[in-house]
Amino acid sequence: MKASYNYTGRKRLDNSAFDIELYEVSEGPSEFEIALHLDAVSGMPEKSVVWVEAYRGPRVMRFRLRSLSAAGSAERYVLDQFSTGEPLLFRIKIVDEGDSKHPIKGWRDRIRPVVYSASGQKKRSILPVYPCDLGHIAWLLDWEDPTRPVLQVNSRISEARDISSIVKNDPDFAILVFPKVISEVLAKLLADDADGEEDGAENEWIIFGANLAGRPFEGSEDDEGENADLIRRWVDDVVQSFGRSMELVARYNRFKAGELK
Amino acid sequence: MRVLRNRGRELFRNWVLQLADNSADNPPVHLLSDEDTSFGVPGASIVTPRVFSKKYELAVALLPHVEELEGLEVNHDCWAGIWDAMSLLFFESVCPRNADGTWSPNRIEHYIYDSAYTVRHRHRVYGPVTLVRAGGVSLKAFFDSKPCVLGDFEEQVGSRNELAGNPVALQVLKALYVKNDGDAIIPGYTNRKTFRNFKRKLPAPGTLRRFTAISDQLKRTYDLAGISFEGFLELLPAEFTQWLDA
Repeated sequence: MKASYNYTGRKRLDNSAFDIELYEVSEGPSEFEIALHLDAVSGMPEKSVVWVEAYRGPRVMRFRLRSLSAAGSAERYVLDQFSTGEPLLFRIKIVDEGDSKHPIKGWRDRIRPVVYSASGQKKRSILPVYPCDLGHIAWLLDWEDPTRPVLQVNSRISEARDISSIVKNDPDFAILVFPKVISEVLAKLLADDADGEEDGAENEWIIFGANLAGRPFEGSEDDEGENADLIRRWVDDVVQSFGRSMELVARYNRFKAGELK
Repeated sequence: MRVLRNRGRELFRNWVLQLADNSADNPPVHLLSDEDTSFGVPGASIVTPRVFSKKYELAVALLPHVEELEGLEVNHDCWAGIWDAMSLLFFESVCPRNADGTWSPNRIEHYIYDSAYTVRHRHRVYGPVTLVRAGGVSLKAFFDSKPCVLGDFEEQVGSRNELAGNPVALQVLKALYVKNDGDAIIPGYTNRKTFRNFKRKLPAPGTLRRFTAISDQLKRTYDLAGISFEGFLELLPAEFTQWLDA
């Protein structure tokens, strides 16, 4: 069992303490709306200020909420320093600005917003796809968030598209890339045994894998070597099942046959 | 101001890569007048090429152009082309030359903007401009070197957004490592030291790498992005006192 020490009295905000929704806009930067629930800020020092940071890698946009007492009402902000479709994360800090050292009294990091597309549709994907310049390689898994990888695809090759669109339209990309991506993600998550800060974050992937394999993963806590072997076998089953359910080989054959005509 | 298109960036990139063959060719500035490789931003003022001997001078001269382009609400996707256009225009300043006049380029990300946070700050225009934008005159002493030199300060501070974009943190760095009566850096601020029981040298107490390491810890407990200068100093451990007193 993990032991932890909290010398500063910093409180971790629960999922129920806030709502963050991100709205993509057809022409213009995305916007987000945040509501911090009153019970989440009870007991905080009087001069506390709530800061919300939207970030991707080192790029951060920082917003000061109106006031602690205004918690409960939703506030909307424009994310004009990010491109539409960037997989953003959010961080909430409740800072005691009455203290010159600005100690953080309440905190939650790596918050994934609920995303709505420009058409108002709720977007959901366990593997966000983000096009960027990858030089001379086609794809890369970005593990900045250790429980939720992002598939970076080379913007020199393709345009930004949803993963389902890529699977649907690009049989060659699907057969060459996705089995390897799934294998790498599951193997890493299971090997790291990351319980992270995110509630159930890795479970999205593990549940996805269990559904495909038809059985949950059962590892060995006593034998590291055996556990690695169990991971490999379970991941292989998941990947084979994925290929079968997506008819990857058949689709690829049809695609190549059409290409050769 | 003209912006390199993707095609222009690619050609500029290829030109930089071939410089390894001891070339002394002139930079391909024609890319900035060809409509296939670049485009003009309506309303943007003209950037006149010149040679800068100091990194600070280059950053101060280019910052108004960057702010002007932001005011013109240039598309976010164009910024890589803007940084690379500036790199091409000021290539004489940002790329070192050998004694025989041939170019001696560093890694490609020094000239061709790469958005990856691990290397982005190395771009010889983007890096200095963004730091000077946040730190202003606090950076003058640190940026007294040639624009083509990256240096430990930029490598350590530029790669950490909570420091690079934080005017107070940059002011604290100046207070620690720049002599009060002038613009000179206190010698040894990037030194390493041998400690008993450690095989390799480690950053000496109170030096720049200790500052970045301590800041990485402090940011988990304190809101460094909003803290005051005095508040930041209060948080620093005793090993930094000698630098403040120097």
